[in-house]
Amino acid sequence: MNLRRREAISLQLITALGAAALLFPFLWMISASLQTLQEVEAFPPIWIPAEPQWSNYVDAILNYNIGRALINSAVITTVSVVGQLIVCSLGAYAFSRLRFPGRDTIFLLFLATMMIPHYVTIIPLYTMVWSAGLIDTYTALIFPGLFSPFGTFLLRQFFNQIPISLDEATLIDGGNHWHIYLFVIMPLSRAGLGALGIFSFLGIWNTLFWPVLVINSKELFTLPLALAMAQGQFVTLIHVQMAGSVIACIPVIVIFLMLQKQFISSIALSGMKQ
Amino acid sequence: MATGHKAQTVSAPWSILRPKGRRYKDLYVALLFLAPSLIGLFLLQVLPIGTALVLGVSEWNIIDPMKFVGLRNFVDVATDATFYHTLENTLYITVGLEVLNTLLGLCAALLLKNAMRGIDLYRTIYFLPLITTWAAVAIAWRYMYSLDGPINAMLGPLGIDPIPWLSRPEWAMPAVIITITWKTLSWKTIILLAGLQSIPNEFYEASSIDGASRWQQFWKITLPLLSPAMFFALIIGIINTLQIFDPIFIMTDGGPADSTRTLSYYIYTRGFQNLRMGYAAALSWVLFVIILLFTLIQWILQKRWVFYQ
Repeated sequence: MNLRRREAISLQLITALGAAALLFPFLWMISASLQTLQEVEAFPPIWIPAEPQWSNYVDAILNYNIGRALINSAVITTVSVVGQLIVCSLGAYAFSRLRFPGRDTIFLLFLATMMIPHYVTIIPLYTMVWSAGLIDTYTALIFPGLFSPFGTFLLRQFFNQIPISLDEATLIDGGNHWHIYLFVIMPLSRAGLGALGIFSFLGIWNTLFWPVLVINSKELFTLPLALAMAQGQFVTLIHVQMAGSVIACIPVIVIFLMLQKQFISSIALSGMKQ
Repeated sequence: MATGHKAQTVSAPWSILRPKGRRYKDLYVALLFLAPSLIGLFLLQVLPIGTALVLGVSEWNIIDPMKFVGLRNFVDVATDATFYHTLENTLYITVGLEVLNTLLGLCAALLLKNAMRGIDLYRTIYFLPLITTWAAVAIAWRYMYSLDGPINAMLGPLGIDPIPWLSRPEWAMPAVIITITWKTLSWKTIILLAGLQSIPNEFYEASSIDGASRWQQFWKITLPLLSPAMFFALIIGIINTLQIFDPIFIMTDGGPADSTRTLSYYIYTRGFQNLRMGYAAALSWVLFVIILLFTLIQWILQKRWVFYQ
């Protein structure tokens, strides 16, 4: 008995130590974001600010473009996620419920594109956006996020689990495919839509590579881009930068806390990362 | 992996309600449902992939007209010393990350499997780094690595002199690997935790009746039964690492002295910093082949495992 108790306590201790190590960068980020410039540059480092400088957050939002970037990111992410859910669910419905020539071939084509790494398509995509004169536009930021072969695939798997008898009932009642899609499939696929929603939210909110390529002007910066560009512009203002970083992390952490179980089970199911 | 699933067909409802000859009647409805996806597939996948093939055999700096150069880009890649250097860096970062991530991810999964007080809170904390914005946390890590930053300050009492983490070629890669491990560890943990939870408890009960020690159980039950999940996580982990961008962009920009320039970051460097689009496209096809290789290995071995289970 005593041995088992000792074991339980040591397990708890190791787990807590690991958690502390993983939390440390966040704690330092928050601490630094509340320090004065003198404190943040002091050596040895000051762990807890003498007086929390909330004005750093005001400064980041108003004077260092974080406010504008926050609005941009919120708009772009919302439009992209909602759009992606609509586009992917429509496509998934066709693959799951409709019968037409070439269906399986087209579906295989979707699957095949998932194997092509981002790096192969991103150079031509950039040149296409450039040729179309869409550099520095919201369109360039939003359009690529509307479409996802992975999302179409994921939703099709969910749709396939819904019994066909429900479709038949709708058809017998005089409904058509739009009715089945809207009133049968979509309401019954909340888990799938939720999973895809979290993935695409995190992916689009956090993405840095694409905005780095297609956005030049400050007015269109997304949050990650604003943070990255701040690196070069006001290197010395660590405390303000950390305030910006905390602001960028809050929405994803809130969403994660709300949908944690769903998020983890969908990663475990699909092996998807970000 | 998602693509590994076999396409399964669902018999459509109208096949019962309508005569067989009219089963293509849904073509027009299907076109409406599929139109947005097909436009996306064409504009964001098919067209770019085709263009990438053309770019691979061309020279283009965006401003001047594109010039056909045949296979010269690929010949240049084959004789480019920096390319081989970035391959070495890619190998370094991939092996380093996989070793650290697998060992620590396994430990974390074994810890989080236990029912203990506050387990929900612990799980939340362990998964937090994975979801947060790379740009935000990479900047924090950059400052944490500075010569008089918090990491060196904590190492000081242990008798370790301040380490020039990001400013020396020999330290930059380890620093980047530590940061990426911190960020991606929980992805590995989630996969391995799911694998651990799928091992039937009876195996442990039966073996402990037979007198097996914890250590024997780990080597004879846990590890063999977890190996498919570990292998899956290994391949996907490698494929993800091969495409790393954000932390290198923020923390090192490939430096110092190219020490953290991986193949993926070299593609960015050539294409978007030197404006050599054709060369970058050729490099991206090399990356494609490497990733394809790992995908194929995953497919072949996954089938074998499914068979043996």
